[in-house]
Amino acid sequence: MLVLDRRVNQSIMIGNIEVVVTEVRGDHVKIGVQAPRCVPVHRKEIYELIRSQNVRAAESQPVDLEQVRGLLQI
Amino acid sequence: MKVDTTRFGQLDVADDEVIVFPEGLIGFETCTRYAIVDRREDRPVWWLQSLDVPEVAFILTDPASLVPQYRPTIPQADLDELGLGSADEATLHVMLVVPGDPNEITANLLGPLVINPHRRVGKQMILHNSGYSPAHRLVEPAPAGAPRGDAEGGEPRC
Repeated sequence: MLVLDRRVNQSIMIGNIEVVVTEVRGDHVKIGVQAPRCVPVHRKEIYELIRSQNVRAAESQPVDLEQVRGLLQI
Repeated sequence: MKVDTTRFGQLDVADDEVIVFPEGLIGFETCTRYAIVDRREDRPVWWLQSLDVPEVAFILTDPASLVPQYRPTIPQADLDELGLGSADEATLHVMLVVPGDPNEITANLLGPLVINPHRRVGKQMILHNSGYSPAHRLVEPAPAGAPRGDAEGGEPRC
């Protein structure tokens, strides 16, 4: 992994995406990301949470939807 | 177009039935084209079948019927991206996880699918800082004394 030293208000560019360190307080770092709208930006742990739920959803048992509808009473 | 699927055999999908998620779904970035299967307007649970990968399909629901208090705020930038003027014009779906014990069925309220029903384009949102659960339980746990009574507040581990 490439590791770069940066100070507050300094940036790095990843292609045309700018990542700027806006604040550092102890072990807490605020980071700004300037990216085109088509580039999704997420906190990794939340991204991983959604990804794992999507994988679980895709692995749902091959149920009859009528059973699910009945279970949910809709 | 004719599309082979694992669950439903060969489907014949009209062009105007295709829903495109340009970014794919999270973890399924290469699956961008989908169609809805087994839809019933009166009982809002249906399949979202990938047209790119035969085995990829998700069970969706309309959260309004199951979690009436669910009112996520969709950022305007995301509405713009989908060509929507306001959140009222969007169709909101959430994915269900149906595990081996269907009583443990959960809905992902943290990562809903937002669709522009007219352009048939959508994206999966991540509702940062919303407090919504990625695994919101939909069926009340069994009553006390039953073998499975360990869920607190209806929210399972994720």
